[in-house]
Amino acid sequence: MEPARMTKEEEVAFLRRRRSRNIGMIVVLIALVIIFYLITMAKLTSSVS
Amino acid sequence: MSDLIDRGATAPLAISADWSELRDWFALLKPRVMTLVVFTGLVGMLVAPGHIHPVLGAAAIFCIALGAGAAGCINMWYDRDIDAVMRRTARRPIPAGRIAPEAALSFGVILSGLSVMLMGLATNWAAGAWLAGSILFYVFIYTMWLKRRTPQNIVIGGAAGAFPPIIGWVAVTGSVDVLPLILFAIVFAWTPPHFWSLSLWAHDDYQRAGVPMLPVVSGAKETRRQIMLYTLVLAPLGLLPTLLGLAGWVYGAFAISLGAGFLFHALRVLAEPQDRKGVSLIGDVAARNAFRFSLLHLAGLFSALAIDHWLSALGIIS
Repeated sequence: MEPARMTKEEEVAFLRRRRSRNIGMIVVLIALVIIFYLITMAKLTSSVS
Repeated sequence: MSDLIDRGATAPLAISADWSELRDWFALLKPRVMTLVVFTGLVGMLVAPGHIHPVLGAAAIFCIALGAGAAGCINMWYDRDIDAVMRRTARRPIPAGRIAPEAALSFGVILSGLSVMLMGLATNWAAGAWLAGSILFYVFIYTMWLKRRTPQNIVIGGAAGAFPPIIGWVAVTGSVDVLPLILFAIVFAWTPPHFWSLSLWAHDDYQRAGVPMLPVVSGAKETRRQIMLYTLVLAPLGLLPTLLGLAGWVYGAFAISLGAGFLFHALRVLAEPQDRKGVSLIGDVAARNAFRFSLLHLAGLFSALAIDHWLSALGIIS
């Protein structure tokens, strides 16, 4: 049996959601890298001073 | 860059992002509740003795917000059945079917772990443990155990919202002291009159969902009495930092004014024109005002403490 195909409208909606999710993921991952970097630098400068 | 969809004979269509889903994920974190915990946590941090690197302080506040949001997310996962029948919450992402319950649970658990780990790394593991404790308390003690079982749900469960000043303080000092415990007690005693004022005029939803809020179980009359009793406890508690010499007269003056203001509103709730069961005859005007004032009360009290602390640190007041 062939899997049910999405209509064009459903496919567009699906792709729009997937796109926003991907962008959100990238932003969160970059933010985490920045946060961990800043925390590490702050810890280092705190322990030096 | 954009995804393209082949539309047969026509040119491929560029797909723009749909941000409504990300807004739904953010809504799972209960951003409005976050504001309160961030503010009280920040004040706990500001009045703590010692110094914290501003970046680490900001990270600690971020962790408190993240932890509170994660707990709220797990709460929404667990309460999805009652959220669906309450008018106020039926449009939330899970009951509305926009986010799968399992995905929301995973999101909440991952964020909980992340917030605790980040707090431990950025400040100290004692603060991480307090944050973990507050999340666990909110999820297991309030959400899963008390909320559907007892009208005292708000009283004991309110402790979860009272942890942030302690967490903020511990993030700076690494240990607990008398002042953060008093701040905990203030938020703890503030929570019941705050929520019961709200539930006096919004209890239909709770009744429909079978949540045993005090007005549903014991009636409006008893709720009015309890609001008064807790406000009588709250007013002197607010003054305690000054009485114990942990805050100056500027804070004391605010505490007296705000405490008296809350007592005035609680008295109006008690004396509001009502029928024999205590149901308001004038649309719960007094309860609505008391609810609004309770927000001002807590914000004013904590702001005054921070201002008093700064004035004292600058040597303007002793």
